[in-house]
Amino acid sequence: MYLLLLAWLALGSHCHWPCFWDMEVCTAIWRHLCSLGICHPVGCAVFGAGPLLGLYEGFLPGDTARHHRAVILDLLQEALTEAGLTSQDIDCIAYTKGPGMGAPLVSVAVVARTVAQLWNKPLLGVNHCIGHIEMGRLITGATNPTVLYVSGGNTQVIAYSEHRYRIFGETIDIAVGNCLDRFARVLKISNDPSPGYNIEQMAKRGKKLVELPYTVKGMDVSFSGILSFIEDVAQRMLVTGECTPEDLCFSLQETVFAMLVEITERAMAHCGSQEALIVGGVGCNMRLQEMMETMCQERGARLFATDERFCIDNGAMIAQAGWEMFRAGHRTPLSDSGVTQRYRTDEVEVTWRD
Amino acid sequence: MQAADQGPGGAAGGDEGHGTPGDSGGPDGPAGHEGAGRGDEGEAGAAACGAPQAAQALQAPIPGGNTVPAPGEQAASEQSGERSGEAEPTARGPGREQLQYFLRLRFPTPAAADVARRSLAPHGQQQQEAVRMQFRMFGNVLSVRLTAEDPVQLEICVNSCIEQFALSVWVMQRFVPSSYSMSNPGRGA
Repeated sequence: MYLLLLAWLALGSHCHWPCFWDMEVCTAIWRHLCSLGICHPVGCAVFGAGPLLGLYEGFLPGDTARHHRAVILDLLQEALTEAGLTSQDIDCIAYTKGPGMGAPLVSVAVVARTVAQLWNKPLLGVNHCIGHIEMGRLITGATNPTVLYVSGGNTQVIAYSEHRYRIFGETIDIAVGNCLDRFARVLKISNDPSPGYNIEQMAKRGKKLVELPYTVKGMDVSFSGILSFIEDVAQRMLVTGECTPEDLCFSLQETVFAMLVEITERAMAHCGSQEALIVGGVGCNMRLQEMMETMCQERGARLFATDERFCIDNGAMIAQAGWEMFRAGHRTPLSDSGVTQRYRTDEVEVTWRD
Repeated sequence: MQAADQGPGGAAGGDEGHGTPGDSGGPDGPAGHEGAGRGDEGEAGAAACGAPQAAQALQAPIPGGNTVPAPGEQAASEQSGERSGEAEPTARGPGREQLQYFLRLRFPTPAAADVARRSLAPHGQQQQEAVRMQFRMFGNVLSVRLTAEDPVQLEICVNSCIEQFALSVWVMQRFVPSSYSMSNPGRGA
């Protein structure tokens, strides 16, 4: 049984790639998925045959959508060919319904609807956040973890309860990954392979902790003030020699990650959870994993985390969530297949879990 | 500019030629589209100077099917079997000018036209606040009317609509070429 997953790359926000998910024999397909994920890391400098975007820019919806339209058909064909499948082998079409940037989401959805009609297959609109969670659960084997979902577009602490992924805490403004990415632009840090990765490497060489605003508001966090503050002081401190760029990277990471650890721990205490799972692109960060591990050990809990193949947006995560939905009987009628830029994690009824 | 009450006339604008999904730059869209019209003016008009370029992709030869009409060719006359896709635009309030843009897309078969319509209709439903989209089918001709008060929003939506139609057509051409001339392709959920 094969699930055609159409999950498309929207750089910086969420990653979508077409892939096939065969729950019985996934090794060959998984290699294919991994090669797609690694060959196209999240980064605005990678646009295939097109011109290279500025190295210090963010992702623009129009440009991203144009990129998707340019590559999507070849990619879909490549996935079919490499998997050795035809349309007749496919059981359903899964695509990212949201959240994310509108234009790329729409491009993907149009392709998914067209393919679903042509091949006469059911359609499944998948929540991107739930894709991360389900992939994390599958890869790590975590049974019922408290989830820290951290990426360029989202920052949430999530726990499952009564057929919903409940949001216990979240950012009240920008995502932690967005904060890191925008700070990278202030320091003119390269986007290749990704600003977050480069900040992490620089932070390892930092020696001085610069005091930054620490903004935890109950179960929620705020990053926009930290970003404004560090944007304001960075140039002054660098010019006067009070600190180095590496110190600033180190200080920013320590501050924002500590905030995330705090709200995750609070959620775990509330739920009585003995498992924590990190998902999302920022989850690749080894320092964050290290800090979370320390917290879990102190609580006698267990931390689950993945590497960049599964943390960063990828098509397989949409496939995994779509597969769960398909088996549980979910279907998305064409009339309901519009995309949702603000698709909340807790909007989905998780009928595939007890 | 084409007045709304005069109805769509001949195709206008756009370049002939073949396009691929990789083409960047100007919007890709179907041949046979007309410029924006003002709902409350009676003047006839040529295609708007600012009208998007015609779709290169849709003018590409379709395996097993006919090419869509090149710019300047008369659009197909209305045929029986009209199907209306979306809600009617709301009546405009006093002093509020409505801008309209008409697209008429000819497909090789009614089934292909319906696939394209159903692929875009959900997006059209979501756009109802700023830009109202109304789909109608006349045999193998798909007619889209976009109505808005804000010309910028209208332009954005027109460009987006054309790009999405082109994408849907490319999918049909690429993956099930025979369906472009099929009479009854499979229906999705």
